[in-house]
Amino acid sequence: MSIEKREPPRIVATLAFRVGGSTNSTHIADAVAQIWSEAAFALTPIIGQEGVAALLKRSLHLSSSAHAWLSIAPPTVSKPIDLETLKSLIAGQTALEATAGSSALFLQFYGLLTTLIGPSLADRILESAWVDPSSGETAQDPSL
Amino acid sequence: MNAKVKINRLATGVPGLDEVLGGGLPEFSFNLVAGPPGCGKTTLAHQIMFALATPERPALYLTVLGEPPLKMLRYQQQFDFFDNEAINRSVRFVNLGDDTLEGNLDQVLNRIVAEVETYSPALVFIDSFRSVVLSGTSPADPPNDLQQFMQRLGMIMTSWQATTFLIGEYFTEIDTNPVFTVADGLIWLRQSVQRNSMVRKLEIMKLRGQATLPGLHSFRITNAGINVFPPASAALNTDQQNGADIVRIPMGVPRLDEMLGGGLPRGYSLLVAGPSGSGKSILATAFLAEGARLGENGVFAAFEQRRHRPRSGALMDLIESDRVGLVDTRAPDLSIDEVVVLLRTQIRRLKATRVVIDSLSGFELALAPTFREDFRESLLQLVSALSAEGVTVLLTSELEDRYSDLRFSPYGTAFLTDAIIVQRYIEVGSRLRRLMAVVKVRASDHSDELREYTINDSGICVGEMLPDQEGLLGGRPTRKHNADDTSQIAYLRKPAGNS
Repeated sequence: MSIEKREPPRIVATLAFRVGGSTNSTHIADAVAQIWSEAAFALTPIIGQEGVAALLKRSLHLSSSAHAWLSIAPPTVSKPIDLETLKSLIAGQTALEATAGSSALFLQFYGLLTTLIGPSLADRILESAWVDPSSGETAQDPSL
Repeated sequence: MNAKVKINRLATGVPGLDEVLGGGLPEFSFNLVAGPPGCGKTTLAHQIMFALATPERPALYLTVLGEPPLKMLRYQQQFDFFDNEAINRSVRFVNLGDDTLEGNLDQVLNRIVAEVETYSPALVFIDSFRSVVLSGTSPADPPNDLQQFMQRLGMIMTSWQATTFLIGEYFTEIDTNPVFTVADGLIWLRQSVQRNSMVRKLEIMKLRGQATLPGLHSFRITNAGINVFPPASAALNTDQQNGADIVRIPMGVPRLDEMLGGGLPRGYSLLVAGPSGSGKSILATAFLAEGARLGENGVFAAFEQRRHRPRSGALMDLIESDRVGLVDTRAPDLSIDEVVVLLRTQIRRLKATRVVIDSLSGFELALAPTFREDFRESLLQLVSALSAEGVTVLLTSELEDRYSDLRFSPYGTAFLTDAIIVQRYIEVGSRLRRLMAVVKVRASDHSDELREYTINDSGICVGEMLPDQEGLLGGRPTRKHNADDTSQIAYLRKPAGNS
């Protein structure tokens, strides 16, 4: 899947911002889990928990070709992805690989979402998760 | 004191639907959009939602089991009305799938109410409502549970001042379904399939508090969304001219106006019937060109049997300069109402006073088979609707020359038009020559002459009668036997029988 965008998607930028130059893989794993939860929080009301879980599973599968350690998708359809497992896998990598693999995962996820519903609507839905990546904060309520 | 409640009617944003609904959708009504899969229920709901939703009047779209929301967003986005900017501003999608998977009706109701209380929407859509009912009912539920659920849902939604739409797959409308009983409005969508053609139809089976237009109304789904075609107005123009104050308009063909008694009365419909190549389209173009010359705009509706047939340069110039609007729909399976909407749009856009329909034969073929059965009735509707617009109409009709009988249209529709011109070929001196006659001009004197005419680069030239010939309508005239005519030559002796 080719993703051509001049700027990295906001989800990837947010990860880069929060991780900074961290060399601590556990810190990176926490940031990934946090960002994923924020994205899921924005998406779940609209597409349901199962829809979000399916997107994560597919993103992991797509990223695992370049980062084999990400192939943790459970074999059954109904079983959700265990975020703790994902965290421990990231924490087990070098900081460089953890960052590269996590960025690839988010890039695949964003690419998948935009392929399905288009970049405009994807950004519109996800914008409530991160108003501005440099703020480092989760948006509380964009309408306020 | 007259303090009756006034019901606001919401403009649905679906072209033609408000007219069919009888003036829009009543505010706070509880409606069911029903029909079989693929008939356009979700599209109709989205189109109404995006048209009505504003930050002050937000909409909540609850998705339940059925079409996965990701796919719904993917496909609905293809329509022009889908506005990404509105999402999470004036339009909010909420998926109830997870909660309704194993719930009972009470749980479902509580979840819906919780969402409504959270967002205070003015518009609520539940898609698909049938999934709600199926997921919420179990064999253990008493049979009147659904009835109670519906009544409570209806009451809660109305008290929260939400105009509600339940979208559901229902196949038969004769079920004694409590959903139908409680609903204020029942919009039924259908796909009518006949042989290889499919026509979408919509019916307002019920709408409390207002008079809707009864019957099935055809609609079409394009990239712009749904377009409903309300019935062509059969109301006759009340300003029908009486004989004394007929205003006549020139046809653009010298001497033809004389034959019509001074031109064609304005607002009349004229049928030009003749065989292939007799110059019907040339006459029609002259009619429009004459209008343009006098500052009148026109509309040309092309229903040619062969597409891509080159049009005359004069007609193309008129179309390109927008003096004549072109209706040239290639859409399959047209309905008469759709054609009238297309014509009316052009007529009103250009304030046109002259309309040409070329030809009735092509028009009949363009209609969906289901409407061809009532072609005479359809034509009457078309002519009446155009008459109500106050335009003068010229219709061409391909008429195979049949010399054994005198017919003006293959449909038995000649009585529908106010005036008729017939064109024919005759054989004289081993040449095909053309004749034209005015058969009828309602409430007006007109010529009874059979005039020869020719067609050259400048158009139609009406010539003289052929007084030395007789039997012209038989196609093979003979020279009259005058006392001083010794030649006794008949141009062609008519053989026996010509059926």
